[in-house]
Amino acid sequence: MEKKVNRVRTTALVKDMVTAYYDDLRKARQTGRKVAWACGVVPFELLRVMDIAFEHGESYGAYSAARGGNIELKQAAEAEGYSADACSYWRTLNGLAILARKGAAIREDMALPLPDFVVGANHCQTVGLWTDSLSRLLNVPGFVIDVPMTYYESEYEKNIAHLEAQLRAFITFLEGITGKQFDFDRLKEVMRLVKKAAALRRECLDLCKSIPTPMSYFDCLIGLRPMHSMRGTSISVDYYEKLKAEIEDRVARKIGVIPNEQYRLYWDNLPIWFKVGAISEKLAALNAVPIVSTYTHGAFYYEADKIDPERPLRSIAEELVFICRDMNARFKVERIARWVEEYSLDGLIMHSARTCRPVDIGQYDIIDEMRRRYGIPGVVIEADPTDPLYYSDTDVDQRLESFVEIMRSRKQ
Amino acid sequence: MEKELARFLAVCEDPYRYVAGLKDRGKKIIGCVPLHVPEEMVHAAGMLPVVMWESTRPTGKGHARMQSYFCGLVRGLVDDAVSGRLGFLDGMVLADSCLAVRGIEPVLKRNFPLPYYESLYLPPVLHRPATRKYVISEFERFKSSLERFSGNPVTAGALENSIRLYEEDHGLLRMVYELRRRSPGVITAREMAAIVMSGMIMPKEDHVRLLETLVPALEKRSPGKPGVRLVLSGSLCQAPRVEFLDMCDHAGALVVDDDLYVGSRYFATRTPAGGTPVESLADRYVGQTTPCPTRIQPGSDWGDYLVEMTRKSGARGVINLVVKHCEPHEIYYPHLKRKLADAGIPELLLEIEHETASVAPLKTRVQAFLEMVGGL
Repeated sequence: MEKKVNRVRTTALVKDMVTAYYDDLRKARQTGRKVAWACGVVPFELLRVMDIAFEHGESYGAYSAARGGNIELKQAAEAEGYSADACSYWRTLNGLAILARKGAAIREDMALPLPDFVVGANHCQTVGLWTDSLSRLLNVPGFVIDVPMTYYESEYEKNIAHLEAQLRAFITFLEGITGKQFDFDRLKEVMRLVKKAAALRRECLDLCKSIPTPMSYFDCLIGLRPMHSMRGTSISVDYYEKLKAEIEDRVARKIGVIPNEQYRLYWDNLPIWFKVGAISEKLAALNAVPIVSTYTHGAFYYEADKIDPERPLRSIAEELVFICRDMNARFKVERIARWVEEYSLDGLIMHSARTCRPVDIGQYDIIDEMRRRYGIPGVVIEADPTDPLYYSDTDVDQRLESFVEIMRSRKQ
Repeated sequence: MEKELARFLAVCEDPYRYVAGLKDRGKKIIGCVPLHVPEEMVHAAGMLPVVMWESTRPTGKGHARMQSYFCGLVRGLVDDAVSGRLGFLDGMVLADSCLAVRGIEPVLKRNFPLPYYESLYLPPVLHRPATRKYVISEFERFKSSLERFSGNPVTAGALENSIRLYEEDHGLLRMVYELRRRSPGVITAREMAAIVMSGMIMPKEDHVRLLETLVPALEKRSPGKPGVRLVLSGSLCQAPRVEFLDMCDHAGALVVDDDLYVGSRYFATRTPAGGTPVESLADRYVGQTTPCPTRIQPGSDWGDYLVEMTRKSGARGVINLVVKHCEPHEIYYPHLKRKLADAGIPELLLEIEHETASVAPLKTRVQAFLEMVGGL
């Protein structure tokens, strides 16, 4: 089938960047660096300052799913009693840990060094528990950064202060692990680079308010790595400079990411990593394109202007409290409403992720609420970020087709 | 004695009707969603705290609000709320016990508006000093919120009295557990669940009064028929179904101790004295002696805890009741399994689904397990 999607070209750079990242990680021990497995919204900036090589647990889940390398890892975990109902990222990483400890064969591109320590953030409870359980399984030190949920705006500042205290404790932990003193000047430098890249990325996202949109949610996803485990480096800044140039050019020439854009969409929750290409083509064939999501627009320093490199811990704490707060339907609903207006959206795709559930709760109510406020429809598709066990091509295709049909009749 | 037991069993049989009947007492009724809500504070504000239970119905209307892959407690609660079965409540309190409980408040609020909802954030990393500080400030905030809603001041004296009353109740429950460890079979698994669960639902004063009569009477009760000594663990936010407990009894199991929420987990941790009453409650939270898979407690190990409980009670094995879609439990289960295996303790995993028509398939597995460990 002829491809409909006119993908943003800059994203093609990410593949080599990821390969280089893993090469560096696999060689880290030889150069005396410590290795960490970091799960959830961990402040990578602090690891970077301490020159610690790390893999992010969920990124590994996405990477292995996109490459079809996760199935045997999950099976290894399930064979030891890990429930197939629980987080598929967690099962994948545990599967890797179990196989690596046994010295069993692991596909070359899936192998990673075992960590010297694990760190996680509990913006999602599962990630916090997963970090603790991994530290018990691997018998290595573990640190859980407590990211408080903000139930009330009045508690926002208290939560930021609480999180700053966690970050200080984590720095002490890192000093113990590395035997080195933490360099706050270096952290400010890293935060300046983070801010630069985040501001560029935000400009790219804002440019997608143009009609037609120059970039899809799927392009945003592929372009997340540089703002994720690579942030705080010049590589990351370079990437978003290039991306912005390409997007500006597209906007100027009114080039859309799909040929006949008729339906502009919101995507809720994580992507389905092993189906990103297929779903994006499917939607393009229906003249529909997801542009905004909680994932791409709710984290990764979306609010770049809030970063103050002179107050790095405060800036990190604020970002984490913000991410955690807005995962919850009570705050998420207002942000979606704003995006519906700003991005001229026609509908909502709610990915109900079977094993990644914090963001799922309230999806039906959000659909109702957006219908009430704007008259736009929404559809729920039940799947999973990385586990093909919970995916049906026919089911998802049918739901997307009828959803587009509803939007079509509404527009007429 | 049989009168007290019958009362407890009746409360648990139809908690909806029972709690609706409490309306006569002229107090506001506050549903406390498991886990971690300090009920004493609600009590001290002159209201009736009621720990929410799992609905036994298959979900109906609530299915349109909550995906099928959440646990029965949460789905049942949303279903009960949107179906109008919780009309007796004046408010609800949630304490961030799991990701589902964190998420459902907006859903409940939108579809089941009550005059009062309160969500507490309780940091899960228990050993860190910042946690205690945060919990104290959160409990102080809760106190003010309760005062505003109830119109009653929560004085230090009132809170101390409530804590004392709850400790009295928990102390009596500990005595019943001690008695069961001493003479297994003196009380059935179903009766024990009812004794604990009724205390989560009834006004504490009533529960204490009944326990005070029951405990000495139980001492004189003759132990039942012998059986295979077991520990039940899991079911972390809800009572195991009575049909299941009856089946264990009938199959020849003697539950000699438990690590259940509607069981020892509910009352195991004592509320320490010293400091202000709010500090005492915070200290109980950070110092909880039962390893809870929703909390991070690097200093304790659930596996070791369960091994010790099993050995102390002379049990021959452990049944792990994992509620389907209880992710905290699913995360630590492999660890429990390893620890029990290392200690040479036989273990049976039973996954409990909300929509279960019959316990018959479980019965076969329980019987096989009993044969294996006890040579029945």
